[in-house]
Amino acid sequence: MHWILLISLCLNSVNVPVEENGSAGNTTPPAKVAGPSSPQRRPGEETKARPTPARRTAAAALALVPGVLVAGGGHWILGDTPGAKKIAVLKGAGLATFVVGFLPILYSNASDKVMHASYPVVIGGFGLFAMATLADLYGAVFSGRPPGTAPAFVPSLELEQHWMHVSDDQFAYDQFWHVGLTGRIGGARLRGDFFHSPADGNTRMAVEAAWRFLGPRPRNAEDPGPEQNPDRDGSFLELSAGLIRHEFLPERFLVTTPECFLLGRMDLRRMHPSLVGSFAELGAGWGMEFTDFRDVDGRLDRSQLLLFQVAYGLYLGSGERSGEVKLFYDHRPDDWAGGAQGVLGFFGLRGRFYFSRHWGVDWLAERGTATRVMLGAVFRY
Amino acid sequence: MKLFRFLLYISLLSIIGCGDGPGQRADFDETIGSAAAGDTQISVRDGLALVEVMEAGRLDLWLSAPTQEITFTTGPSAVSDWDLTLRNAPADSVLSIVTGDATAVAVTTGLPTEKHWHLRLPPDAVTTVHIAPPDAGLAGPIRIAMLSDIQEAMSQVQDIFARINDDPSIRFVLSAGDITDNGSAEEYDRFRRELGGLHVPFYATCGNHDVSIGDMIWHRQLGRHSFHFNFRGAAFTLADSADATIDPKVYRWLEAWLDDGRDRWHLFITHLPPVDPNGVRNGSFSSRREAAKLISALAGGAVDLAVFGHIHTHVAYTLGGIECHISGGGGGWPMRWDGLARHFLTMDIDPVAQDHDVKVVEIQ
Repeated sequence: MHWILLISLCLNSVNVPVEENGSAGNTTPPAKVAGPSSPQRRPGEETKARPTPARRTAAAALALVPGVLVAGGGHWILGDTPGAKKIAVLKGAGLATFVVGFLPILYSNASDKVMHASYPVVIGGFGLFAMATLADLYGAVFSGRPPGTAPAFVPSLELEQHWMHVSDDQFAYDQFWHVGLTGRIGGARLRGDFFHSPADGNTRMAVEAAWRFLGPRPRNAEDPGPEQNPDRDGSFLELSAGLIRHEFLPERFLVTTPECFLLGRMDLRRMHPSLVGSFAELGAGWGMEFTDFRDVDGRLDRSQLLLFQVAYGLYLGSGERSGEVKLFYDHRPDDWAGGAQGVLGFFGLRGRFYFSRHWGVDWLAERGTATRVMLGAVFRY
Repeated sequence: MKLFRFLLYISLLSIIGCGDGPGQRADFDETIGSAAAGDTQISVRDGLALVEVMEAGRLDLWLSAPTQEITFTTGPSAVSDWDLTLRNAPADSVLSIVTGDATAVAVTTGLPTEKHWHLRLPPDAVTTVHIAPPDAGLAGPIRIAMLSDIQEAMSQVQDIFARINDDPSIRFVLSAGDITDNGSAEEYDRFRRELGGLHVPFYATCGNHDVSIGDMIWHRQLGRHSFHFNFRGAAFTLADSADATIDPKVYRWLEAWLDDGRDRWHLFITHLPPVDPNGVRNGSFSSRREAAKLISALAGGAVDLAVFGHIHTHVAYTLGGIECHISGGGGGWPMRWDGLARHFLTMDIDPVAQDHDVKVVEIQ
């Protein structure tokens, strides 16, 4: 987490004074202020003194370093007591959830009889706790600055091509090509991915079908254009089902994984004005691995997977030149990065930015037992 | 007490994999079994014994396997009379001179697992001695025990040792680690004292608790973390997975060990199960891909049986067609509601028939 503190300190060291109209001297056009109740401008903001860089730095440091003990400390330093209280409540809820889930595991010494019920609760509590910590950091660093906005529209079609590098002591592969295609019609989404390592033939194919219950969908004729809807909300709730087929040729095994996943995103403007421009994601699911060992005749090995993701992100830019970046934890131990240590999953940073209506870049960095980085181009329609 | 245990669990979770890394431990493994004093050098084949003391005329070894081959290289001014002490050795071990004109006289000791010889080594010569039970090289049935995850229950371990001692057909005890609760030197000292109550040798690989402090305490107390030996026609491989991974260097050793054991009955032991039968708990390797790679290698190497620790109960299951047992019944943080008391396993192995039978022995 030290690098987050470093980033926040760097951001504060180049703190550009925000003008009265909200422009920070960058190329991003100021977000339109809908009125006094707009979450992009807090009540009384015009009359409140802007925090000094030193104060912001102190707030960011407090949000992170003793953040476990001083919930909402970043907001509190900035004088945003309501924000600090909300973050404290979220953090407290996360901690309480964690403890409630952990106690049966502790008492039973990880008995099979409690793991399925308790472990997801533990990880969920960890997710809420992490989310609250990062929200405090975000508010400490970014509140009062012009925020990014949710994507101007949800594309019907996205085509991605990536170069991927995986650094894993356990496997010879390193370079991969990836092609991904996503199509959306209404609330439905279909996605396909293909990864291939020319060096050792490692190949992964995945298909996924999803339904979006809540949230923005591909634009139709009735939708207002982005300029007419500055209060776009990127929150969504989506249920997906997927199938992954991953072949390890030199190691002589093939893994097939059906899985389902429920993922939700909430724009945190809904929670507190200081968090406008940021979002949190929480997702959970279940999968079953079927491993076919080439040197073994007979039935496949089966193993369950508890899937869980928590992410904190921020929108970048607005209108068609926009994107997002998010810091995330992914609990799955079967991905390229593997788990970090012990029972932990891996951590990562993912971002995407569209330079124009159709073209953008996409990047990813993950660290578990292995390191995975991806960089690619995206076309949307 | 609950709060203490909660904090302890959090701290243990946070330090899993801390201490010395698996790569460092593999590097140190390579240094085990070699030493020099004055004009005499010794080398233990495959690093299967830790040199505890080597000074002019005295050599003390702690064994990691029931069969040993020790080579002495003496210079012109080397000391000729040596007291050789082997600890953690089978009680029926005998010493034979393989090469050289040395002489050896056995000396009686008090402990069944401590063997003593007086050696006279010629100067300017290479002398190889072989120490093993008389039947070590003859393929035939053997019974061994398996005991892991003792941890904070070390004060109760003597009742398990007594049960093992009650069965004179058990040749030695193997362990998948977590002998100690936090890997401190004091705990290892204590455990070695406790081993005085066991009449057969105890060979182990390390668990995550054993290396949580690091500082190579295991290495200094018990020798190698990963090793391989043969006994009575069966092959035994113990691999260090204390960090929920196996170091690439150990995988390279494993290739050779699998080749050696391909035509023998072969037991593979490591602390963490590559895959937890309860996938949601996932008390296993950090990476499922690495786990599958290991299982694929073990299946390709025709391993007959695999035993793990870490999870404090007993589970029998299969991975890659290999019969696997998780046995963490040494008493450390026992799992509740599993219907099992503290336990160890006995394994009746018939290397000729390539067959085995595993039984759970509960300590009520």
